[in-house]
Amino acid sequence: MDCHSGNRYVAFFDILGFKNWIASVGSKEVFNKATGHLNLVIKSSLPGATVNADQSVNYEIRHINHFFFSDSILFYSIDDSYESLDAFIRTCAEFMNVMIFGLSLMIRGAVSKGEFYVDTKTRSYIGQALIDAYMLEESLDWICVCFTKEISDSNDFNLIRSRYSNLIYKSLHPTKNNPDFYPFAINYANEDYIGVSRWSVSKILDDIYFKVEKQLSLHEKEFKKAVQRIENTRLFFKSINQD
Amino acid sequence: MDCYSGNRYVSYFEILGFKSWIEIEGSKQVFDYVKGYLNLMMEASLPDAVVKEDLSVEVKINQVDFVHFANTVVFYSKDDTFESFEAFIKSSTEFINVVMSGVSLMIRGAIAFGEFYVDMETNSYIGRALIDAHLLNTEINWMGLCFDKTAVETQNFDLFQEKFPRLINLSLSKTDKTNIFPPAVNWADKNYLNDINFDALKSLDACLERRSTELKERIEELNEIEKMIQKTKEFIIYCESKY
Repeated sequence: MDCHSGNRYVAFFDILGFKNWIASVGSKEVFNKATGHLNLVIKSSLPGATVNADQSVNYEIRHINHFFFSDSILFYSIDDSYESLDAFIRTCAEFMNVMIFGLSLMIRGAVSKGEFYVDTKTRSYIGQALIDAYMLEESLDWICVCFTKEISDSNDFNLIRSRYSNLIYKSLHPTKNNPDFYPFAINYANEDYIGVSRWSVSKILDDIYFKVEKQLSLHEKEFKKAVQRIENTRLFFKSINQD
Repeated sequence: MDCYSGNRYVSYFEILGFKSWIEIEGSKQVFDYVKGYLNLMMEASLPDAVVKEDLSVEVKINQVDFVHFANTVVFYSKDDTFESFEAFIKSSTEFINVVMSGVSLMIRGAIAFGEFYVDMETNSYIGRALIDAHLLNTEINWMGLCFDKTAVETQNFDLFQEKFPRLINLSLSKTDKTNIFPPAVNWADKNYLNDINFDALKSLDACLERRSTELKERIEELNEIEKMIQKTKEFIIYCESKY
């Protein structure tokens, strides 16, 4: 899906601890996961996607497309209409849900709106919206997907919040670079709108904790950082009674 | 070029000041530039590439290929043979030369060796070598193209130095955290890149001039850039003095 004009929504996701993941299980295993499960999860999160018995995915690029590079995953919408925002939020929620509940991967993302252009032939993905999403994502200290202030101040966003109750909540933690900004975040454990989760949030966070403990046994500083992120996530879901 | 097995060389380039470039010139202009000129430069740097009159490029992906995402460009070799290494170094050097000298964009890069796998269909570019190149790149405080020890320790590196004894020299400034002087390619070497006719030192002045206008209110950032440019000039002059 090429985009040569107009504004759109952009979500930037970062798989946390990618370097240590590769160090602990090896490049080939991570590559196989990326070309297999991860690719399946990304595509199956797109609106209207169906997964076949042979694990291939039927999907049609209409509102949203994606790009994947190393530990970064990008979703972008065709425009900035209400319909696109609706589809976009559900895609992000679905994606986070499967990445965390299905693959037990620590992932963090942010959604922004603005100029962003795509030329798939030359693989050019450029724009202020990507920078804004990246900057917000970097400033978050828990496993979440949050929105920029510009989005959360918009009418479309408020309409979506009232349409899907319990899907979007304010973060408990401010961003690292602005102590007054508590961005809105998606409740990706909400089973009313998103694929069914077999496990509770606290069980999954325990699993992630044990995985991280194993991977970072020799990296005390990084381990502490990861534990803090897990605990912040636990607190958020506790506060919205989704634990 | 898909790569499903074996080791290879990977160069990781970062275009510096990308955020402020977008802020100043606007997303659309940068996008047009990237999908036009930057893409042309990447393709034209590949072995045996032919740039036609209409600025399209005829390329045969044989020994080296590339991928780019936002401000990141990655070149990778087909395998770990000397022929591939030689073609890969030529492409990487030509690329940094043409970006710095031809269009005065600030760029730096690092080369590593090891596992790196590519599946173009799922956009998966994953491996330890990419991480090693990325980590070294973040530590370089000048516009150099430096070698990680994983690449230096290969036999190809020694063979290459025998063939081109003046092209690679130790960096004159230490890396930021690891405090080492990694070997770096003199990307301005006209004896090696004999079909390129740019004056690198003049281009570095042009770079500084451009950034001075862009960053006139960000004195600290500008001072850092001034230092980076000075270090780069010193390295080029030092390398040239060896002829």
